This record gives sequence, C-alpha cells and structure tokens, in this order.
Amino acid sequence: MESRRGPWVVFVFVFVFLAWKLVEYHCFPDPRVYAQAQRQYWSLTPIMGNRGYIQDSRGNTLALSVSASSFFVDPEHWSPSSASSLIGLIPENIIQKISGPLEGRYVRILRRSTPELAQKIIDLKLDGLYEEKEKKREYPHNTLLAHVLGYCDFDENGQSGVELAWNSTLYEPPGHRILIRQTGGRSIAIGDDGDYEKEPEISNLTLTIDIRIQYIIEKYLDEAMKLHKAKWGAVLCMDPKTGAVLSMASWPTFDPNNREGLSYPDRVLNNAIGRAYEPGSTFKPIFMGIAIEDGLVRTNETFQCPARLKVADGVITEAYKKGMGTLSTPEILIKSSNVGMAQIGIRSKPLDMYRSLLNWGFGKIGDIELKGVEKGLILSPGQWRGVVPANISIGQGLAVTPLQLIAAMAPVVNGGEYVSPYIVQEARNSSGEIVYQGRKNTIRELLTPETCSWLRKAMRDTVTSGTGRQANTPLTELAAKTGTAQVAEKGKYVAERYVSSIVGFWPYENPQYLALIVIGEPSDGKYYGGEVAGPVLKKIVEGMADLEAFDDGKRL
Amino acid sequence: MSSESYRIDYWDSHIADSIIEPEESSKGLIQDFAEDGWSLRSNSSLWIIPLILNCFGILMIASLTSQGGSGITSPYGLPFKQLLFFILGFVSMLTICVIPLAYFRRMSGFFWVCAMLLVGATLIPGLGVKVGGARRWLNLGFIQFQPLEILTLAVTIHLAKRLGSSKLNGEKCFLKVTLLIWLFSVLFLFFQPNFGGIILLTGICMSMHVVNRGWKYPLRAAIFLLLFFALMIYTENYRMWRLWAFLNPWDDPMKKGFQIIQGLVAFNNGGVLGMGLGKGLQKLNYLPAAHTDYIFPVIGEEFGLVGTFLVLALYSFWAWKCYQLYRRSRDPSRTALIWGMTVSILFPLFINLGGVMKLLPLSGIPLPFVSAGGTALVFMWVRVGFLLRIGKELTDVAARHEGALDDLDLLDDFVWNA
Repeated sequence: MESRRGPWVVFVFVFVFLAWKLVEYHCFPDPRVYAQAQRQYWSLTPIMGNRGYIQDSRGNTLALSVSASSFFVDPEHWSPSSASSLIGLIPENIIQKISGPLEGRYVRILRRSTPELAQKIIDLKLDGLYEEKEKKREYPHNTLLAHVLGYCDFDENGQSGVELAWNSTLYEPPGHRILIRQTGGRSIAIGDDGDYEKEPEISNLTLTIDIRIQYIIEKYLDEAMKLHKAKWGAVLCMDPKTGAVLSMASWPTFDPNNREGLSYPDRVLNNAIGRAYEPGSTFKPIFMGIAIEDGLVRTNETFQCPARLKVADGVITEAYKKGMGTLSTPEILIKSSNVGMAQIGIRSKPLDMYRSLLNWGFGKIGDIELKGVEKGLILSPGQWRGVVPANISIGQGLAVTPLQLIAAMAPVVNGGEYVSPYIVQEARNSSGEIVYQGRKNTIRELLTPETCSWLRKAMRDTVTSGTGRQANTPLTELAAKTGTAQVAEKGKYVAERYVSSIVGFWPYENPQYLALIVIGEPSDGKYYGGEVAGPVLKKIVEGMADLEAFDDGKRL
Repeated sequence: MSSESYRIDYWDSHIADSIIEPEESSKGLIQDFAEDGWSLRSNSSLWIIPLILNCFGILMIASLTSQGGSGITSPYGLPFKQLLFFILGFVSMLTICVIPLAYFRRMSGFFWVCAMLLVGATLIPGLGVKVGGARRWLNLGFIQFQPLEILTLAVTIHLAKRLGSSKLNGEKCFLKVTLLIWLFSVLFLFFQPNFGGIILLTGICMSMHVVNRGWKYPLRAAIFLLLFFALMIYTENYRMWRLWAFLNPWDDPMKKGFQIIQGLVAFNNGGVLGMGLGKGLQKLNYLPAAHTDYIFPVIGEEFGLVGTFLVLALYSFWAWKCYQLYRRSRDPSRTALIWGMTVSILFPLFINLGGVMKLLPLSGIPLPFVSAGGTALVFMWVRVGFLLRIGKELTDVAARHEGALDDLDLLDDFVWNA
C-alpha cells in the first residue's frame, strides 16, 4: 500500500500550480492579452453633435439634423460569406467588395441610411458588421431659400449661407461615447442613463425670412427666368423701416438635400449678395437723392433731353433711342431719361459723390449676417474723369450687389434712414440663451423727409405713368423704378446683354415692403426692366396681397 | 456482534450476497432514515461543496444568458434547465445513497457491458446523433445524453471490483484486468470518435491501477499510450488544429487562437476583485461556449482572482474530504472505488481548467457542477452519491465494531483479511 498517498500528492501539486497560474493570469497578464483587452471592446466613438435648427420668423423649420445610421464592417470579424444576406439592402458594388478579402479594420458599406433600412440591417445580426450613429442635415423645403440656408458637409460643418456664417452657433462639436462593441452591429453605450435618444436642448436660429413670401417670390422668379431664358436672377424683399430681409432668392438654384447639385458653382452662388452688376436706372433715384441733398439739382428744374448727349469722351444715349424734349426733374426719373440724369451727373464733384456713395453702402461689404457677400465696385475719385460721372448717374460704370441696392433704396422709402439689412432675428445657443438678436440698426440719416417724399412720388408716378406701368396693380399702391443696364465685357458695353431690374415699394402711403427684382441677361428678345422685371414685381405684390388677405391678422 | 455483521461490510459480492438477509437490510434502511436521513450529515462536505458550486454555476449561467450571448433565445431558459438537471442530479444522489454498494458491485459487470452497448448504439444511425462530425449522443426520443457518462461510471465500479477481487499479480493483473477493461471500454469511442473521452477513461483506469497496484506498469504503458495519442492527434486535422492553437494562439488571434486568447482576456479583465456579477464583457459574443466549457474564465472576469481562488479552493477542499474518506477505507476494492469516483470528477476539472488556462489543448470537457450541461451534471451528482454511500457504509462498519475494536484501520484490515 505504498502508493496510497502518492497519487493524491499529485493533486496537491496540480492545485497549487493552477492557483499560481491564476494569480499570473489575473494580476500579471501577458502584455498581448492586456493589449487585446484594451482594444477589443472599448471604442471611443465620436458622436455627432446635435446641430442647431433654423426656422423662419413664423417658426417654420427650414433646416434640421436627424439621426441616421451608417454601417461598416470590421474585416477581422467579418466573414465574406455573410455578404449575400445584404443583397438588396446596400449597393451591388459594395456587396461585391465585401464578398472578397478585405484589409484593415474599417470598411464603410453604407452611409446615412434611413431608419427602416438601418433596422433591417441590424436585425440580420451579422458578425463583424457595426453600426455608427450619425446625423443627417435635412432641408424640408428643398430648394426653397437654399442660397440663404446654404448646406453642410458630412461632418455637419456649414459650408455656405447661414449654415456657414452661423456655424459657430449651430455647430455642436462631436462628443465621445464609450461603447461596448458587440458583434452584429449592436453596441451598448455605457456611462449614461440610457435615455440618450431623448433630444437635448439644441441651438437654433430664427431668420427674418417669411417662408410664405419666399415661396411667392421664388415661384415668380423661376417663372420669369424660364420665360425670358435669362442667365441669372435675384429677388430681395425687405422691410424698409427696419432693414429686416423678408425674403431672398437667387436663380439658378439647388437642393441642399442633394449633394450632386452642389458641384455647380453658378447654382450655389447667391446672386442676391454675391454678384455685383451694373444697376442701371434703378440707381437713378439714389443718385437723384444725393444730388438733391447736395444741392446739385433743384426739384423744379427743367432739362433738355435729346436722344444723345456727348459728354467729354463719351456719349450718353436714351434707352429708347429717341429724344424726350424738355423734362422736369421728376420726369427724368419717371421716364428714366439717361440724358437728363447725365446732365445732373456731370454737376457732381467726384470726391463728394464718392463719399456719398460709400455712405449709402456701396463699394463695401455690409454687415448682414451672411457669408459670401460681395462689395461691388466704385471707381476711385481719381478715375472719375470724362463721361464717368455721367455714367454713374445712370447706374453704369459701377457694380453693386442686389443687397446693396435694396439697402440704399430703403432710405428713399423710410424717410431717409440708412438701416443695415439683417436676416437673423434671433440666435440661441444650446443652453437656450439668446446670443444674438437682429434689430433695426440705423447707420446714418441720408435724406431729409422732403426729398424722400419727393422721390417716392416720382417712383409712384413711374408706375402709374412711366416706365413701370407693367408693374401697376389695382390691389395696392405700388411705387417702383425700373432699370435696364448694359453688361460690359472687357471694358465695352455689348449689345444683347442686359440686366433687367425693378425696385419697388408698397403700399405707397405707408411702405411696408421694399422689393428688388434683378433678371440677368434675358435672351428672349425682351430686356427692358419694365417689360421683363415689371410683371414679376406685379405678380409678387399681388401674391403677397393675397397672403395678407388670408393672414390671421398677424404681421407677415 | 455476530460474525455475519462483519461480512455485511465485506465488500466482495459472492460473500455479501449470501449473507445479507432481506429483513436486516430493510431494517437497516429504516434505521438509516431515523438516524441520519440518507446519511447526509456525516460526510456533509462531500455534497455541500458540489451544492455550492452548482448553485454558483446556475447564478453564472443566469448572469451569462441575461445579456443574450451567442445562440441564446430566452433569457432564463438555460439557468432553469440547469436547475432542473440539478434537482434530477440531487435526487439521483439521494437514491444512490440508499442502495447498498454490494448491489452495484454484484451488477458491475452487467452495467459495464450495457454501458458499452449504449456507447456502441451511438454508432447506429437513427439512434446516434451526429454533432460536429462525431456521434457521441444517443437520442431516446424524450432525452438526449452521452452514454460515455454511464460508461465512465460503470468502468469505475467494475474496475474497482475487479482490481479488488483479482488474485493476479504484477504484469498479469495489469494486462488481464486493467488493460483489458480499458481496451473494451474505449473501443467504441474510437469510432465515435471521442478523443477527450478516451483520454478521460485512460486516466481513470490507469490511476485506479496505480492506487491499487502501484506505479510500475501504468508508467510503462504510459509511454506506449503517449505514442498512441500522438498518432491520434497527428492523423486527425482538427486535433492538430487544436494543438496548434494551444501552442501558438498569437499567430492567429482572430481565428484559431481566438478562444484561448479570449479566455485569458477574461482573467485579465477580472483582475483581483472582478468586474462584478453580470458586468463581464467577454460573454458578449467574445467567448464562445461561455456557459459551458468557458464558464471558469467568465467567473474570473466577473469575480476576479477572489472568485477563481474560491472556486479552486472549494474543489481542493472537496478533494481533501475525498482523501479523508479514502484514508478511512482499508478495503483495496473500495479504496479504488473512492479514488475512481474522485478522479472522475477531478480529471474533468483539471482538463477543463487546463484548457481554459492555456496549459492543455482544448478538449470540450465541461467544468464539473458549474458548467451548463444536462446528463453530465446528473452523473456528477451520482458520483457524489456513491462517495456518500461509501462514507455511510464505512461509518456503519465503525459503529458496529465500536464495542469490539476501537481502531478503525485495524478493523478494516481485519475485515479485508478475513
């Protein structure tokens, strides 16, 4: 019986050895085991911040971020044979790709899927397939107001428009969430109380835009652009008293929801603020206002207006190529006499006029809360030689943006105050605090009320009996000034290239709205401002009158 | 005290059978209940420790499956199933406790042959169920089980009896008793195939011979057996694959070495105090077979070194209690039986722990009492029942001879030599 105890002693050794190995595995693991444990399920996943939403002045949402799931496969856990179960859910070429051998740890297979599709993929519970929660920027009104809103990149950074200009307010930096990675596309978030699906307070931006007005102007702008086969167009509508921009449209347009459209720079360009053009006759009331204030012209003068007038090295011709005889000062505006304006223009002192134009907001970037604003071009006073002052008086030989023009027209309408245009009514950060409030900002007094009412009268007469007759509407008392500008190419004006525009305000007695319509290079033969832009203004005014008629009493 | 009562304890069936009188054995049974129902009090550690382990196992299985690991459909299905088999096992243990060992001793040959036939039946298509290329399971319609469990038990009992009763010595005893029984037992296992089962049976048979007849022949046989096992590994791809994975898990940590590495990662995650019950990460599809073969690393992850040490301590304390029982026995046959029952629990334990702790190649043998497993668990409890029965009969012998002889060892020797 000598071996009775022997085998049991072996057990003692085995137990002691196992205990020793346990201490080793628990407390002093192999560095490779440690490394494996460190990396395999803890993943610090960036989560998209909740980018703020944008709404119009009436609370209609214009841009918002919604949750979207993206999917990727980790080739180390992924078996290519599983690819066949994804047929019909993801693009064919991706299926082919993941059916073969893959490299690395991350192969994206689907970006920003719809929630239904995402659920289908998650339900497959495929090993090595993971879900990423992302955000997708959506613009529910599609092309409407696209230029003002702009768009974002995949990481929710604003790239143009309000999205870019207000990125610092709207953008929520991505946070991090510690995830436990499970195979099959599922992840368990830890370190939060589980209701992270609940939407937290998010930043938001309220624009002064009224989406209904925007709809009306975009509709008629689009109609006119197609009718006249024009190259570009812009419409602006603002409250002349406060400078609040009520709508801003540009053509051609794009859909910020559809990334493919973004590769055309001419579509993405916001013509209303980002394109400088020669304003033509719509500039005349402004020049006239300056001339009256500076004492260059009296309101009761008369001018001889032949068809052509030689001014120094150049010739000023009437748009309709025929003489207008003797015109009073208001008639120069009503009939839009180039020769008449030129005679006032040559009276101006270059330096004074240049300063005045700067005061009226031309030749510099205004302080509207947008990006991509052009500053236009005014020749420096040293270059104001020969025909230049005459040209400027009729709105040629200087480049302005539609926004500058409408902002400069506001003093004419509101009694002489230059108010800075603004488009953002209120901005709140993600804590709900108001970080910015747009309000009327009077920069300076430019005109006396007498000059204003005189100019307004002239513009009203333009509609009733002058070049703006085609814009006249029985629904309200509209006042307007048309413009037909020639487009210069390499320093010379080219025939057949015009910019037709009209600027108008209504109601005449108590102006509520100021609108500018610019139609660039119509190519169907018509090009006079009254002919091309006039009917658009009429339709817009009438459309907005309908809107007012059906309004619930609130101010638009 | 009459001479008959000595012989009741005398294990050898041909004497015991003729002496036990029916009324006396039935009277003894009633007395047993009155004195110590199923004799659970006297060797309590032998069943309380497995009970603790089993309950802990159910807890771990519940913790594992509540998170919905691989292939688990209903969250509490598995722990309830485990509880059911535990109850079944415990009842089986109690049943074994009241059956005199002499009965099993007498029937051992018959049981052994039946068990072998059952193992053979797994090879018959229709009866045997093919799982993963091997026919190890028997389907009787209402229940599926591995006949190997029965065979292991039957071999232990039969070999203990044969070794105790054989008058052969040395080489002849080894060849004609141990090796012969071993050879017949493992015969069908070759065809299943069940390499793990062969290793287990070989270990049990050889070690039983060691405790009964010494190291000499089993050690010599070990050389041949090792060669033979090496050949078996070499000829079968998946065995080579497992061996390779065991030797170089880091060469392919995502596929071949995955399971082994994930087991070690679980121990690492647990550290000293563990991550807490239910908070382990490895069960989230990282550890294959987390509720069966790999339950020990899961314990390591959720309870840390403290947990694994406690489990190991429970097993070693249990082994120590078995050793005490073993020391009390003087009958070589019964001694071999105690040993056999003990090792048929401890060997699976060591093979399982060795596998998950990267000390042995993986074999797919569950952790006794803890891992989820139906019939395997029941048969573990049956073994406890045998040990308890042996303990009870030893106590009975002592009690009956208290007046005559004080020294238990002397008494046992006396009985053996009678």
